[in-house]
Amino acid sequence: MLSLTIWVLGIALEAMLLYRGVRAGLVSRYPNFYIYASSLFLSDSFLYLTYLWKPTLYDKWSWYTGFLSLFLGCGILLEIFRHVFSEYAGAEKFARVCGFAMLGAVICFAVIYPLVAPSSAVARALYVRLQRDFVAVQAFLLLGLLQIISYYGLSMARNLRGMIVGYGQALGVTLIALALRSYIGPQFQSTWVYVQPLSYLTALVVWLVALWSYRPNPKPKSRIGADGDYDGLASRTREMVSAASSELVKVERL
Amino acid sequence: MIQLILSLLIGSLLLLSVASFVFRRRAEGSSVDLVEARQALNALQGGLLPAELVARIFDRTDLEYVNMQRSPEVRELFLEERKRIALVWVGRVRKQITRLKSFHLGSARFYAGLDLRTELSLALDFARLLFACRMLEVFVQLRGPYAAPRILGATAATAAKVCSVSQESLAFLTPVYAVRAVNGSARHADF
Repeated sequence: MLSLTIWVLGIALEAMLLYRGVRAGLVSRYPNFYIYASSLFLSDSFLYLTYLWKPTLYDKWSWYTGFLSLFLGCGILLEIFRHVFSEYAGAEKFARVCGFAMLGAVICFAVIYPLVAPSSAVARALYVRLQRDFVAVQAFLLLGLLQIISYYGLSMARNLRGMIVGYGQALGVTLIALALRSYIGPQFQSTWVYVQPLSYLTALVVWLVALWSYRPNPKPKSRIGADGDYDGLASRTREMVSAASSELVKVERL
Repeated sequence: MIQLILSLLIGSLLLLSVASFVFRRRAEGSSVDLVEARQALNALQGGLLPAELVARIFDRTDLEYVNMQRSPEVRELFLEERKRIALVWVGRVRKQITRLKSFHLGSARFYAGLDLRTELSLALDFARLLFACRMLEVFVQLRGPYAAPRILGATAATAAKVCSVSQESLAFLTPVYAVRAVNGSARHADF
């Protein structure tokens, strides 16, 4: 009963999120995120109705919609690239190189595996295992992006911060819960039934608050230096650091 | 089992990163950074690093003078105070180096020509340097300010080198219009 209530609450929050997205004009600004949110709303509503009327159909379709949601979740990562890194060419290059390798792995897991799966039974078996791998890859990618954002001190407004926080906590909790479920087995199922949906509800609440209205990212006030001067900057910093390091090595030997 | 550990590790790291992201201090790569970097240099060169100041703080003659008074309480108090000063000094040097690092990152993130390998190796170098400074703090904390006067002297020399290279870096990054303004006023003065 509680899980059904959580389910309905989730659908209501998704509908509210989409409504606010349309009202505040956010859909055109963050299309990848809203494609993901729409897919969640449509698949959850469809699955809820099939669960009530045709449970056998629910069993068949839930795995495929699960794959679709996992894949479209990458839309949030794309929004980070589009909006956060657009003003910072250097940091964007750094993130792009790291991101391409990981996105390749994500696409392999999300698209190729379900396509080669011969039946829904195989898809179901694969889903449990792949969900964990897929979430792990996404979590790893988001972790890398967060480190780059933090390392270069990139600033962003409430909309994107909310997207990252909501998605990040949901990914982290899901990954830990999936790992424990596969290790502990059926005993963990009772905990899983509540932990995962509650984490998802938390993400929806964070998104709803953060995406209530449009908040543009702050523009950097000024740019230091010209695009071609990076080598000069890097070589001077390198001189500074290597001089300091060599002296400290001597210090450590004293 | 390895997969379980990896999943738990990545999941926990992600949750920690999200938490630190929520509470992080906002950093802006702008003229504010340039001013802060200049202040860091001024503080290092003017207030923290002069050889006379370092020599005075860690001068053994003061300790010898206190020892001559044959008062254990005074000696203990003196050592305690000097240790505190040494720790404040090392801590501030580390903080200013951190500021210079932030300045480099604040500038580098805008460059389309950023080189991934260079950035990674610089990140490693900065980490090593800051770790070494932290180790010095621990050393002073455990063994006192007079246990390793050469270490402190060498740290001062190291930080002084950092300053001189940073100054070049800052001069290099000074906007061209500022130089032009100075040259322009000089030309007016000639007439």
